[in-house]
Amino acid sequence: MRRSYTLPLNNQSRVTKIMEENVKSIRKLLRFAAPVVLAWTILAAPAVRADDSLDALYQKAKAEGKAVMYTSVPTFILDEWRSLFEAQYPGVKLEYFRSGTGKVLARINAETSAGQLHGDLVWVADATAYPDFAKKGLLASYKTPEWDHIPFGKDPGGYYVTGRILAGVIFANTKETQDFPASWGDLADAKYKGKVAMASAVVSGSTTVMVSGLVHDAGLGWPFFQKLKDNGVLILQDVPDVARAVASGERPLGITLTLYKYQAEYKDSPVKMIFPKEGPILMPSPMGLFAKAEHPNAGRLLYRFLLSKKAQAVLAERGIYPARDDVAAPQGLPPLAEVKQKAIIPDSEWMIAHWTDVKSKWRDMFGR
Amino acid sequence: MRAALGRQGWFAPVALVLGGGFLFLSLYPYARLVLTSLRAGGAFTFVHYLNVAQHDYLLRTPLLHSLAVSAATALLATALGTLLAWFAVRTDLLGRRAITAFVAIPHIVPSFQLASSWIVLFGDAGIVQSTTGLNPFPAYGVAPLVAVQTIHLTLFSFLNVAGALGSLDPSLEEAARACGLSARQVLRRVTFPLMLPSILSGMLLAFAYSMAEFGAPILLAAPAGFGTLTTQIYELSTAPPLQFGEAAVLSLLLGVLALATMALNLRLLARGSFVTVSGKSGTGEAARLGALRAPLAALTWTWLAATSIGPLAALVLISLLGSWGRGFGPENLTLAHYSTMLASHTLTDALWNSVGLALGAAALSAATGFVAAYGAVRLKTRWGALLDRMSFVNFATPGLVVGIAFILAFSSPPVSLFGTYWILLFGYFVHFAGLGVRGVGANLRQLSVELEEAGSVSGLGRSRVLARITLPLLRESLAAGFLLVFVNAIKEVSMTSLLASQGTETLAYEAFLRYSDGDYTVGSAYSVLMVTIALAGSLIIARRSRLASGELST
Repeated sequence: MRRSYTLPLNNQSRVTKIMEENVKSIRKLLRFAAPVVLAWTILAAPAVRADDSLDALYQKAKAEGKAVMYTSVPTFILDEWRSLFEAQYPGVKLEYFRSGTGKVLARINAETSAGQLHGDLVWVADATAYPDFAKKGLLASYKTPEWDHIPFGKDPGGYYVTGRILAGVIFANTKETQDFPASWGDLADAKYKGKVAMASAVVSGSTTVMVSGLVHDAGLGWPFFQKLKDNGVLILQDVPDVARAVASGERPLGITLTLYKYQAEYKDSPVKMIFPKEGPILMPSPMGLFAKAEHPNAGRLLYRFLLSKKAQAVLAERGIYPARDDVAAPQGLPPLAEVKQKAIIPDSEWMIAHWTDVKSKWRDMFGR
Repeated sequence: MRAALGRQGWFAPVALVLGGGFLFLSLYPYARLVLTSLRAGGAFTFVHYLNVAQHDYLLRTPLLHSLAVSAATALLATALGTLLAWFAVRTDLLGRRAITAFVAIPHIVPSFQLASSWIVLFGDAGIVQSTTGLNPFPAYGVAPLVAVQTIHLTLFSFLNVAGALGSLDPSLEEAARACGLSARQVLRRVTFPLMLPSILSGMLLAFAYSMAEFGAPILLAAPAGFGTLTTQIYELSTAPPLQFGEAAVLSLLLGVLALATMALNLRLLARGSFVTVSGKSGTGEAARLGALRAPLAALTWTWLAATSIGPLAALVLISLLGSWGRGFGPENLTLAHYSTMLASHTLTDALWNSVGLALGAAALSAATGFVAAYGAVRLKTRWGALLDRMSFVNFATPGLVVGIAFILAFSSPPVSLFGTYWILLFGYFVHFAGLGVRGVGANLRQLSVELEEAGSVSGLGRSRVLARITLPLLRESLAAGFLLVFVNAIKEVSMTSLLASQGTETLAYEAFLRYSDGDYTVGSAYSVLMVTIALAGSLIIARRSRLASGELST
């Protein structure tokens, strides 16, 4: 009895010893190798300007088997991309972790603290997250030929590039009102008292960007929001809630994104998209590759696929402006080149500098 | 402790594996959370604690809000659950055997769904207003939040009290009657006091659940400018610039509050002895409601129908809706969203994942519940008490935070569970085991040790005493724990939406994703499927174990 217990114990300690020795030698190796690898990466980094042919990339990606994307892009778009991608590149799977922008950020944050990121590509709505990622060394620089077709929102360092452009507009329920606001500022007019809904700037990522766009770039300032508050604006959780509230008639007007109008459940809804006279709020949503990706080549292949005309056209079908200038705008929306002339484009540097301020002002006003 | 456990035969290895496993799975991530709260930029610091202490919007306001809402919810849900349990087990109320199912339905529907249903029912131009022209309740605010949570959480006290009533020794009440007490006096002086551990246990669960709840507050109370600790934690962990250190501090505060309420509970219970169950079969005398029978039945069934069929009907209606804003008449209904759902290639996987993970977590939790309760109540080991406390702390920690702690602990070596079923299974187990532990512990406190001693005296070994006497007597509370964990795991989204990977999606997660895409109709179709499965599962579990049926088999 006793012997049968001691034996495995001995084995175990031997195993532990061997493991310890291995770890030691690996550590030793790393101590020497790390500076070399680091130097090599730094020297090699600018050279990743990728003209390597898609074919060669595909062959390498096939060996890795899959590309993993961390994203807040809606599921129905991801599913279409997956079918297209896997049909075009058999043998390479497209996997995604899809959640709200906030949860994707929380997961990246936690995985980074734990020491290992499990994604290859990140694509969230909030553009301001990327400079921070790049600063922390989380992103790889990767300029591809597709960049030439993207008119704006490109990081000079090559760490991220706009993949889609979300457009914030006013939704109006035509059954409830025919008196539409002409400008963003009109929303705070007394005649719309109790009639406006929007999402929370501290919960909804795109709303934070829209709020800073309206406060800073459109020059409406905080008095605009104070007036909205005095008029009893309904603050919902997120932008889709606003679309639902307007379509169902809960509130006749709301600040939300164009894409919801294109969803099946709003097809016959009495909803009209209004472009105020200052123009819509354009929000470039960038993507980037993780520096320590588990499937670097498959990640690159996916990156180039997402910037291809084929993948970008899927966005347009769903009411989102493609980033490429050679893919048509969503049906019923003016071309991007035209919209850009007259639009509110939030300044992301200002946003990053004023995050805390925007959040606390919002909290003081709306009680959270 | 080892000596005490050693005599229990098979109990010792099972207790070591389950208890040790549970403690590792909860203490290691919890330690990572504590560590996070003490670090900033790689250095040791108290800055997160100072920040929290200095800002009212981080601490004082949300804390007071959370305490008020949770206390109100817990009191209401417990009063309601206890009353309904008494009706179901001890009276001749019409249709009393069906009550369990109707109390269970609003707990099976996820709380965020229940809150959405509330808005779609009672919001401006909502279902109620557009069909009747009336708008009886406000759509947003604190009152709707408390109402929705109360409806959602009545099941906790109901199951706890019904279980205890079912196994209560009727001879105590008979003796009191023989001494000349009226039926009402027996209820007040004998039955109710004996039920105290179970009543408090249900109340504690409702309180903790409400403290950790995110879906209902964010949808119903936040639009009224009313934030809670959980909405604050959510904001700190997801809205840039991320302040997870502060979020960790607030989560630890929730854990401390959980321990405090538990200590209070133990103090209340320390005053009396609640050993009542001697093993005699039978349920005692069914109270005759007499002249009140008809009106009470009408009242009870109106309430039960409104709180179960109401939200379910709203959910089904949304899943069939053609376009928003065109009314809820038959011309605007379609089955198209169900075809969209059925066409999804992840549906079958999600379905099996949901069922498998929920059953697995329920089995682990019920078994751990037994181990913890037996260890704490019978063997009086510190380990049993630690299991008991830790499981409750985990239950009072928001799912989002458990998810983040799990990523911190288990997403990279030495323990890498990333992308596997295990990370979800263990997450559910750690988060919900408290539901298995609390009820069993309360039940065991009421169970006289004499029966087990009698078993030993008549020559049964320890293992056999456990298997033949203790376990069968605990059947109801074990089944209740199993059922609660099953239902809560199958509908979980906060943690799942952080930990799920390709291939490990669940139905609730798929529904949640559709909701966050703004695809409410298809999301509701997924929810309908998930609720149907959870309901069928619960009915099977309840029937198999004759839960809350008022019959004790021996």
